[in-house]
Order: sequence, then structure tokens, then C-alpha cells
Amino acid sequence: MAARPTLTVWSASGESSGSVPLPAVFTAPIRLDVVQQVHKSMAKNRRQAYAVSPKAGHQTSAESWGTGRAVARIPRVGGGGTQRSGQAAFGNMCRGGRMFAPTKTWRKWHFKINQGQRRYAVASALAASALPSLVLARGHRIEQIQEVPLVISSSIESVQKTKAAVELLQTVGAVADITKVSNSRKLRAGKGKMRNRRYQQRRGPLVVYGKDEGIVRAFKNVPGVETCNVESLNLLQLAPGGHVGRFIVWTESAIKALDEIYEKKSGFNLPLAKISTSDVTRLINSDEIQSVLRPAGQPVAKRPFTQKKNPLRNKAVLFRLNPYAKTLRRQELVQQERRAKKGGASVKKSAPGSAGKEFLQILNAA
Amino acid sequence: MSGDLQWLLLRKNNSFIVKGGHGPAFSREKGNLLNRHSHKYSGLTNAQGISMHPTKEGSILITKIKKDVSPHQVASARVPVTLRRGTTARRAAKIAAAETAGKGYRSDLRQAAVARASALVRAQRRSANVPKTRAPKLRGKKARKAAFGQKVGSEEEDVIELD
Repeated sequence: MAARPTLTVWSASGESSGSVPLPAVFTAPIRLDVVQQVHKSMAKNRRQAYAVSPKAGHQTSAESWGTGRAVARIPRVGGGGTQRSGQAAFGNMCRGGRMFAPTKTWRKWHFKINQGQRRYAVASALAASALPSLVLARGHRIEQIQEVPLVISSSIESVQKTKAAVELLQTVGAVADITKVSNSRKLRAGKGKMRNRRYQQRRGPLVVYGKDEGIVRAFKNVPGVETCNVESLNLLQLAPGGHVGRFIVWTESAIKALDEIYEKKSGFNLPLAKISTSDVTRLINSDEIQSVLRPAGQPVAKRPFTQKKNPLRNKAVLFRLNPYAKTLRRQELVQQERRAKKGGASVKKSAPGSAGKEFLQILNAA
Repeated sequence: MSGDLQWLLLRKNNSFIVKGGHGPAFSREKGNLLNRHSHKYSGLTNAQGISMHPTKEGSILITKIKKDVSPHQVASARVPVTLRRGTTARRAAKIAAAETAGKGYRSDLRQAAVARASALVRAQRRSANVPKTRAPKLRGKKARKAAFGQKVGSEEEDVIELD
């Protein structure tokens, strides 16, 4: 087995200051379907119940008039002396009626997610966060970053001031992502504005720490940055919107703790990829496959000629298809020649269409 | 993880894809020589690739991914080559061809790289001598004022209109 890949640990001043082995969870298979499904269910678990008033549309003593009054048999408001009397009620098609299938607070709002699936999804999301292409594809600006996952020495867990936190992000090259978040800030469309969700903005880096010694409060007011303890990684943060590849900044103690955390989870083994080599070119060029392949033959052209020829018109193609046609044709030509030789001079025909001289005289006499 | 598998993960959706209704999907990531959404030209899923972009100073920045680097490296995996402003088309094409096809790098990208280099050089030349701005064509009163000086009587205006 090859040596386990390592990750560089960067100091707060931006120099490399050691290395850590890559935790096993980063090699888990990335299953988008699992992540999306678990994310969908998890996102639902935050919902609050809502419904229309159970009484809505039913606060009237309407009764149907029955048949015979030349109006529909829908319940109608009784009495007189007001506009409302005689109007239809209750039905979903009626003005002032209830809605169709009124929403109930006892809808199934929350969903159970199997623990194994949950853990699989988190492992997948973590593995995706270790691939630069997927992090870029999620929209994070990580071009200036040295390495992904980005590991910074544990001294940053005791950063107290936001100013120092921003400087830190600057030195490791993560500030482009913060700028992106800052520029993306927009006024939210709709009612959310008045419900404490006034602005919308992109998500920035997620800072994962081992022990909070001030890091949470230091990063709290940096746009888009979220912090999370390594013990309680959350899929909603690791794959916002169900899209894997969140840009994660790890502290050294957090990344060192990862392997142990996954060993501790009882009844859960890290998922393994179904195939060890997914590089198609390498598979095709491998000895195992090349040794059982037949050597390549001559390329088969689908159309040996440039254009399809009509054998009814093109004699050469006809003769190729039906050699007897050549004999037939030759016989026909010989016969024609013979006929022409035999009776060609004897029968003299006038040109069709021109009348005889006598006929014309008789015709014109009268 | 192989580039093939990564391509499958981000083929359906990523932040760079541009689907404009009919026709092919485009992609706006750096390192995509044709800006086409395909595995071959993708700037994300190929271990070796080349990116060509104009800079503000008018030079062309060519960035190449180093061979045999860790798949986790980002900035340190890339080497820049800058073509100064005024690099001739022939020289730019030569460099583009050498950077892709030279030393067994990505010979399949040679044509696309040469085409992009040529397009960038052409764009530079165009921006070097920008077409002269003309004064906007005046109409109505302003045009008459400009043509006849400052004293424009109402009678004269009528005469002009009759003509």
C-alpha cells in the first residue's frame, strides 16, 4: 500500500509548519444521491407547523335549498336584508368558502433519517470538500489557497478579535471567498424581509475547530463564515443546498480528531468505494484489459463509396449487383441492331402530325 | 479520485455551466480553452490543463497545472507564463503549441490552445488602436444651429423645411 497522503499544516503567518496524515474519511465515496436525499430530509426537520384556521369558511349556517329553485344545490346563506343572504357558502368554489383540502397543523412535517445514511452523507460531503474541483464547482473562490482541505495550526482557536481573524484569512488566501460573499449581499425578495431574513448572501468558508477558545466569536461577524465543532459536523453546513464541496478551513486539532471520531461511531464503518480505480484511461490501458483484447482490425468504412448510386440508372452498379443484366442488355442491343439493318429502308413513314397532300386538298376545297 | 469520476459529479450541475436554451452548454471556468462544457476541455476535472486569459495590462497569462502534484494542491500546483503585450501572433501560437503538445503534456489541446492564443492576440491588436470616436450626429434645432450659426430666424426655418 502506498504511503498515506499528508496535508500541510499552515501557521497563522502563512508558512507551512508541519503536516498531518489525510484522515480516512476524505477517501469516502461521494454519493450525490445520498447527500441530496439526507439534506432534503434534514432541511425539513426545521419547519414549523402552519395551517389555515380550521373554522375558515365554515362560520355560517348555510343550508342547501334543494332542487326546484333553479339554482345550484350548494349550501346557501339564509335570511334576508343583507347581500350575503342567498349566496353560496362552504364550497371551495364559493366566494367566502373554505379552501380545498384545508391545510392542517398535523401534516407530517418532520422526517426520520436513518443514522447510517446520515453518517454516509456527512462522510461524502467531507470527501467532496477535499477535492479542489468540486469546491470550485460549488462556487467558492479558492484559487489563491495553497491546498484543499486547508489546515491551519491550532493556535488560531484562541483568536479573540475579528480583525485578527480576517487577517488570518487574508494570509492563507481565503479572503477572495469572503469578498464574493460580501458582494453577493442582496435584499431578499418577498415577505422574508419582515421576518428577520432581510438579506440574502452566498455561503463562505466553514471553519471547523477542535476546541473553542475564542475562535467562534472572532469569526462570527465575518460575512459568510460559519464555525462548527469537529464533533458536531452538520450536513446542512457541509453541503448547503445539497451541493457538496463546501470550502472548509480546519484547525490542526480538528483534523487530527477526525479519525478518532469515526472510529468511535459504533456500528458504522466508513463506506468504501466499489471500485478502487475509477480512472477510465488507466483501466483501458491496463495490462489486464489490454492482454485480453483482440488486436485492432482494419477500420470498417460504413460507406465505401462517397455517394449511394441508383442501380436502375447507373449501369455499372446494376451489373455489379445483377451480372445477368449485362447479358440481357447486350442481347437487346444486338436485336435492335438487327432490326434496324433488316427493315430500316423499306418502310417509309411520314412524320406524324402532318396531314397528306390529297387530304388537305379535299379539306380545303369547300 | 479520478478526473473521470469528478466529471460525473459535476457534469450535471456546477457554478460555471451556462445553458442557453438550445445548442451546446458552455462553461466559464478558467482553464477551459473553448469554454465548452465537456470533459475534455474542462478546467476542473483534468489533472493536466492549460488556462489562457488576458490581463489588465494587455498581456496574456498562461497558467499550466504541474505534472505529478498532489490532487489536493491548488495554487501551488499552477505555474504561470506571461506573454507580454505586443507578442506577435506567430510567437504566441508557437508558445501555445509548445505548452500543450510539448513534452507529452496535452497534445489533444494543441489546436484549441493555438486558436485561443490567436484570438487573444487579435483582440489585443484591436484594443490597441480603438476606432476614433465621432461626434454624435446632431438633429433638429441643434443641427440647424450648428449649420447656420447662431442667428436662426423663424422664417428661415420654414424655408429650409420646404426645401
